Amino acid sequence: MAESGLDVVACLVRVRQRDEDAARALVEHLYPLVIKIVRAHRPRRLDETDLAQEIFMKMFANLEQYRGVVPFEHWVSRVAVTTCLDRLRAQKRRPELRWADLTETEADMLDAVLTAKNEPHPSQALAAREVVGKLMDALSPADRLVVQLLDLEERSVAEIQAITGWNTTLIKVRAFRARRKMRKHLGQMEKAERYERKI
Amino acid sequence: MNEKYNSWEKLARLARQAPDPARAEMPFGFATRVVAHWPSAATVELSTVWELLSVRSLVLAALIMAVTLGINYDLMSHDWTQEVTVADTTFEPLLQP
Repeated sequence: MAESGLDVVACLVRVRQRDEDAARALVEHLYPLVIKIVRAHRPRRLDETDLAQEIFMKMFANLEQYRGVVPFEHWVSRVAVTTCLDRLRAQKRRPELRWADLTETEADMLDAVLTAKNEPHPSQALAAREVVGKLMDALSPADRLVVQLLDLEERSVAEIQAITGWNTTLIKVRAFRARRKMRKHLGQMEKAERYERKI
Repeated sequence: MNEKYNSWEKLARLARQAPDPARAEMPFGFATRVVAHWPSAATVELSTVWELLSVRSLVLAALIMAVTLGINYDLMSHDWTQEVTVADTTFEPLLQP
């Protein structure tokens, strides 16, 4: 959530009167919120600043559609998530990840996750996030979005509903499908790795 | 739940512990750049709609013209084959009671 002490409602009134200073203040106020969403949902090869700029341009272009029913930050979050989703859809889905695609650190971490009985060491968290990102590249953009929000950002279904506009059933179905695919994918990777070790 | 079935949850749980990336500082001049593009945003949207409509209209007009030319080819080529007349005379007896 944006942190500066800006009076958003008053600022919006000025922005609607085409006050450029107010528009600049609004961009500065919302930048942390937008960049956080961009970082979580952007396609890997897309520059985060370009995508953030696109989101702000959309925000200004559609400002008349904002009716004030929800906080402005929520409305902007939705614009940002939808824009990221559109860009993910435009990107060709990557082929499924193989063990050989992992770096040594990532392979060690994944080995610990798949084989160790205990929880892996928190020092491997960064590698885990990288691998999760790579695994999610093989999902459809909508499934990826649900997994990101539900499993990595720990948002509630109601929150996801507010962000995406999807109904509860659709969110749950997508989450179920995406998680099943992730488990299956991990299982296949593990199986292939064990086979490689044997020969 | 067995370990393999649990693998995704375990991996996601570990990934959640990763520290957040450094706080994003807005690039210098970013807000100014966005605001500089702002007045054109609405115009761009509008012109895009018009462009889309005009391209679609052009395609539709070309299609209608091609179909019309195809239908009236006989009349326009001054070489009327009178196929319609032949068809009429062929089917006329069948249609009579």
